[in-house]
Amino acid sequence: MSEDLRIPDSLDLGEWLRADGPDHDIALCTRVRFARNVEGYRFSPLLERDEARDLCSFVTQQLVQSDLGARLRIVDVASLRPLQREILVERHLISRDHANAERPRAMARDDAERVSLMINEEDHLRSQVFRSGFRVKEAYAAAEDLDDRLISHVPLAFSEEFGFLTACPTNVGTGLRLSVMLHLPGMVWAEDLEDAANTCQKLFLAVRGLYGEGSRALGDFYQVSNQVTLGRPEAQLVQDVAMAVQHLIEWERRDRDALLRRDARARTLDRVYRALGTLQNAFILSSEECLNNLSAVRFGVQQGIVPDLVLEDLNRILLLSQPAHLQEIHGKRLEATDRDALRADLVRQILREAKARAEGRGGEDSGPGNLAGGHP
Amino acid sequence: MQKCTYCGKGQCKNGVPSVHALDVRNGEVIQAHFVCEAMAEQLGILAPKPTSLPISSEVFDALLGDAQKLVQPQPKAAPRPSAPRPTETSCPACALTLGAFKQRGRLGCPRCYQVFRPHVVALLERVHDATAHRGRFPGRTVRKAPDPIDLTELRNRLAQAIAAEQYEEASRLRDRLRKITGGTEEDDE
Repeated sequence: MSEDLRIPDSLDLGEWLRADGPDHDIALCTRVRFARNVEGYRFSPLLERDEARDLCSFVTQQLVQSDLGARLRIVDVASLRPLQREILVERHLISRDHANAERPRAMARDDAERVSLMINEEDHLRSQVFRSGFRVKEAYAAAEDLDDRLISHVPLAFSEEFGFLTACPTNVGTGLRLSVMLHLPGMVWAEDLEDAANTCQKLFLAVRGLYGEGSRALGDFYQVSNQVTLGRPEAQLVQDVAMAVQHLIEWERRDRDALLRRDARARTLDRVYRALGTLQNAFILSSEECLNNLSAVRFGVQQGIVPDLVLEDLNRILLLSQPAHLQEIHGKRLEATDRDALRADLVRQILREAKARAEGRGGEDSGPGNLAGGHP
Repeated sequence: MQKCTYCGKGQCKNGVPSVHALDVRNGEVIQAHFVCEAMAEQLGILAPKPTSLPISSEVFDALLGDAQKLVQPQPKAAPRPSAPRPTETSCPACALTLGAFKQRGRLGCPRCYQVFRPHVVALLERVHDATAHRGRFPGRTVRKAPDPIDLTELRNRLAQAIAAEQYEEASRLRDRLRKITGGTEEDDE
């Protein structure tokens, strides 16, 4: 068996997996994004390289001069190694398109990973605010404050008729995309998710996978977000998403309770413990298998079926078992087959440490936040 | 190598028998066929490959853009493949054509919203079920007059509460109405 790994401090859980805030057992994180464009430039898809460089330098200069400068770390995305870019994607700080694009581009983030800005993505500026748990109003207030600060330093493309102008008309108006990441195994197992997604669509809300547009709903994780950005005030969009998500959370709780009642109980327990057995014992784990088993175990932990583990252990697996994080931990590029073996090692190690902690044999400081604690 | 079901050879007369077709009855495989792609098309197992690109020449031109120019020398007098046609609307600020907007779904600059206004408005109606902004303006939070529907609904609920003698609820609704209308709401109890 391989030696226990030490995890770099830079790979902590970040805001979106902090396992904190209202309903955080179901709602992992709330995200608010504003799409904005700078007056006087063509939209990003049509910018020539030198125009794009000029835009990035203008925006970053304005950020540095603003009161945001001290809070944010500005990064030239093109100068990052591909693995570093991929880590930012896995931490939800930049989009996959921003990571892989050829154009000059930048990003800015705070240390707590509660704020990130993409510069020259599909729009010139995409600001994002994250809050752990189901905190729509709080996240929106923070995003609005950030937007106000940006507006006071950067002249934005705006029309009284259409609102904030964006490259894609699907984002025009408020430019606001508010999404909540939900873990919905109860609804998936009870086969209610399709009904829920249809209901959401009628309310102009989109239901997508963990990494947004085009991504698959692995591990029963879903993002619910507003589809329309025009014709409604921000407060109404916030309220619509909050109401729908509240409804989904309650639906999920009802389904979870039903899955543990009478005839369904044995089947559910079997599913949870088979998944736990796989994670504790597998020597090869693909991303998909890992996420799907993690979902069942997460359900078990949240419902009090599985002792010893806490959500933070599972969030650690969720984050660190992703391809770029795994490669960063091992300090080198890894082929998919190697990753699958090392992923299984990592998962076994985290679960082993959690068990040792629960049995009081994990050493003085071996909480879930100290992966290598007790294993010098 | 697997033999072709039809010619009995390892190398089918039309090529390698790379298509595997199974006859299944009642969930069980009763016969397996191994044929080449050309024969599979003849037998109707595979859909024939399209002989030409299933996209219009307009889209093809737009997709290739300048790349096409590199391989096909153009006469000096001929217009460049990516240049807007004289009759096609294009944005004077960024040169985006209506065709390119329709194809990519992205506008080129803020001015495009006015240049392609009818098309933009039609799209906004479809996507957002709305055509006008009702949110924030740069630098200030919009405090527009309250939505008349909200007020009407509140007044109806107030009337219903009074009719049902739910005075606590009625008082709460009246306070809310006064707050919204700045105290101008009449006391019609």
